[in-house]
Amino acid sequence: MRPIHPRLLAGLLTLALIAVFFVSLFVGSSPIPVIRAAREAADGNASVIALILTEVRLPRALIALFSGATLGLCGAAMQGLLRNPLAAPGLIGSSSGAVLGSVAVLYSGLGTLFWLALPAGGMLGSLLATLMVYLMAGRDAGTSTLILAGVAINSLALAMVSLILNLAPSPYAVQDIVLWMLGSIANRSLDDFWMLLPGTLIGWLLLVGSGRSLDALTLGEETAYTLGVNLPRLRWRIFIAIALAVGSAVSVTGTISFIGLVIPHLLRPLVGFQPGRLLPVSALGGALLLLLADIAVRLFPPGIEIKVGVLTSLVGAPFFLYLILKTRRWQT
Amino acid sequence: MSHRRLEWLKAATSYLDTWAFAPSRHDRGSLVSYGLALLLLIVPLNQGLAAPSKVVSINLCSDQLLLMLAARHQIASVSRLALEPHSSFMAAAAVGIPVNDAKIEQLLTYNPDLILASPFSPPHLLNLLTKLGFRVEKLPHRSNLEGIRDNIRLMAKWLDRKDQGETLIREMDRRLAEVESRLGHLIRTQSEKPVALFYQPRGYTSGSGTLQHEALILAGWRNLSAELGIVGYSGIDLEHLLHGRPDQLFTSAYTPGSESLAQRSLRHPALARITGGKPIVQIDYRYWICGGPMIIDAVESLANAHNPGGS
Amino acid sequence: MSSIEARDLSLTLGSNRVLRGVSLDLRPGEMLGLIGPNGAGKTCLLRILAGILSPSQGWVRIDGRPLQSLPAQARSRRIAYLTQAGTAHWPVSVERIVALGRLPHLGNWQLPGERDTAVIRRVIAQTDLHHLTERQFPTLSGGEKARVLLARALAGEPQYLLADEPVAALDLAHQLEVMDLLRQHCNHGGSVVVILHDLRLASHYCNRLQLLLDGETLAVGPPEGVIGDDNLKRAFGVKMREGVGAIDTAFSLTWVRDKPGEGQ
Repeated sequence: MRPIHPRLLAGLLTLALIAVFFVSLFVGSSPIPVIRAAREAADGNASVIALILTEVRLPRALIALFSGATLGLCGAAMQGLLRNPLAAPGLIGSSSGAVLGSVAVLYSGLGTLFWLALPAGGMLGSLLATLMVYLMAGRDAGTSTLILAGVAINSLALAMVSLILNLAPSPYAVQDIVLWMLGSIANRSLDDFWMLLPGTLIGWLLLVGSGRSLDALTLGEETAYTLGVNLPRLRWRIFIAIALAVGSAVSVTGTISFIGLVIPHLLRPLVGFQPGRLLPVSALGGALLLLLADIAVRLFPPGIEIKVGVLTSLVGAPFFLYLILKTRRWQT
Repeated sequence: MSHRRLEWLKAATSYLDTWAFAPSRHDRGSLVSYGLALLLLIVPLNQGLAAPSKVVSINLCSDQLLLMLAARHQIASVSRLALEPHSSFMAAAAVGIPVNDAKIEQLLTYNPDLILASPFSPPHLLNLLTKLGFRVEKLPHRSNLEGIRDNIRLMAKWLDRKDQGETLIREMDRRLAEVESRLGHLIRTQSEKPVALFYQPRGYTSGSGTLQHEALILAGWRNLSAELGIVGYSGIDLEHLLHGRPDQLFTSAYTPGSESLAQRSLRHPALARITGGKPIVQIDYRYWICGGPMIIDAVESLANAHNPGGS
Repeated sequence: MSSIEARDLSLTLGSNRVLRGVSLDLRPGEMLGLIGPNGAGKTCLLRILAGILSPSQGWVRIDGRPLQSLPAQARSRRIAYLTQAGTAHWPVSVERIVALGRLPHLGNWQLPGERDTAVIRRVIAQTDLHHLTERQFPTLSGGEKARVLLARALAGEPQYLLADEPVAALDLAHQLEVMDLLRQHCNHGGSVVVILHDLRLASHYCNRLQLLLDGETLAVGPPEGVIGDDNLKRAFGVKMREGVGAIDTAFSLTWVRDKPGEGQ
């Protein structure tokens, strides 16, 4: 695939994203006149259709937009930093750590302490898990070491999540594991969106401007250093950004797999394999994919509730296998 | 330890098998199995007597009816859940009665003359108890008022307490009639009835054929879930729920002081806004875990929600 | 006065004393060749000069200022470093890789300007890469890759170019081509420190050679002075063949590129 002009690509993705965002407001289990609903909502009229639009569909679309963008962006940043196409938040512990942190906060009852307690737990868990994988695998980790360390930390986090949920006083805790592990954005409210927003925005802002350093890392860490890149600072910056953004998103949606892996990989050839240029388009692409997946989930007849994470995994898992096979071919 | 228990049981049951044909054969005789066999000898003597005097219940549903109908001296043991106030309507009455965990050794020590279980009790346990010669009765699972009356009569018969059973049923009917007459002033026709539904954590609801449905109807509400065609317990889509414009939401989550994602779904702001800011009314979960006379308490609570704070 | 001075550098990695009291001077317009057997400490010395490693003892001054006190951007503008067997981790195009060399000259939010584009174009022409600009790095041959990486280093317009075995794995013609480019850098006022294993290339192209052995300087000076029978025996355990006359004829380069070279 030939690279597309970066502005053209970003423009196309933005247009598609805007279109899909509006389409997602039109798709739901019961058909409503969206335009009229929007007008009534704007007039402050609390009609049922206005309520469905502003309290059910809008939060869902916004959460899909922001968490999808976060996953795509963080996947691209992580892959750039580690120069490894298989490094994605889901594989290297960021997501499962975020689940562990959120679960620990929610089921211990600390979630009601303050407004952002839940995402704060997610951020902390995400940061700790990512750091553990990073320390275990070492700085110049190869693909297999990294994935091995990721598998170990992911299973540890999952085991601890199960333990907490089994010991939790709530009788619903054990069933919640499905929501956490498969990821869902159904029945979320604007409250959830406000909870997700600060962490993701700060995370994104931290990543802005790291593109050049990631480009320099293409030539390896030593060369990047002699090009003026402050590597320790870059690493911390990206780890913290991912922990803030992914931690917040996961604490609201659960783990939605494979977006952080698939999207950067699909878009990379289109930006000429430049890690810096990959960042913004991956954010757009991630948001697009999650919105589309969530629309698809809503098209199932009522009563059949497919979690959006199931859908992204159904697409992502075969893709992951394909990646592994391709990597294997390179190596032999 | 558990391995030894198993050995012990095996020895005991196989001894029992051979004993039926050759009572003089004592060649298996470890002291333990002797003891158990002697213990078991008594069992058949107790059977067939009119009023059981050592009743053991291993299930919350039979626990509660037992506690309502039996004389205190008839009850040998109830299940541990019977004491748990959020699950058991009869928790206060169960205080002081020995509790069991439905473990075979424990049950044997009571030497019961009637064991009450549910259709969902572990079949291995029930088979073994039957094989050992105990009388085991399973209280059917019920989800409507008529079934509850049947269960009361059934339990009263087992316990030889028919009068108490009829009294309990009469009391139920009296309270229901009271609710009905009270509602008569409020609601005249079917279409005037307000719409309600049960919204449970994880977005579940109770359609037709459930105790909650029965109670809603008895309390003068229309059940939106049943009208949307939902049968039994099932998930309900939030948009469908809002479209139905319910006047009141009820929930009945067993969630004392706990938190989960499932419970967070009850706090969706759209739920409060669709009912004009009316909070979701919490109905105790213990009214529904088992079909029983306590459903009348639920009906009364649901009926009171027509006019919160008033009359 | 632009120069690199290093004094009494010692480096201990783990329990291994890699360098012991090595000093080094690089003058303007000079090409200094670091030679010596494997494990003599050449690469470590070069990394210290690039600022990647910090010496356990001793100091490095760049244009009279301590290297460690130079801000990252000032350092990266003065010094370019070519790693041994450098590579690109993503299949980026040749032009983009060369453009990475301009990073030290760009502010945080500054986009590449006309001057940057002009420098990139000039370097690509110098290194004879204009027909390859759109090619992805992994599809290039070894010689082309070495030239691209050198072009990346030159694009930063560094005063000092530190190159670690830039001609390893290259064929004869490409060896000469890369060495010519380094020479050219010196002719334009820059200075080069280059690690070489080929003593003929070293004595042909370098103004001075510094021979390292076991982390110490065995000899330093003009090539004919450093490459002597004694030093060869001590450093490499080899001696001159019977019948070969003088050392300088033995180490003279007997071929040149078959097209007008700019270097000499």
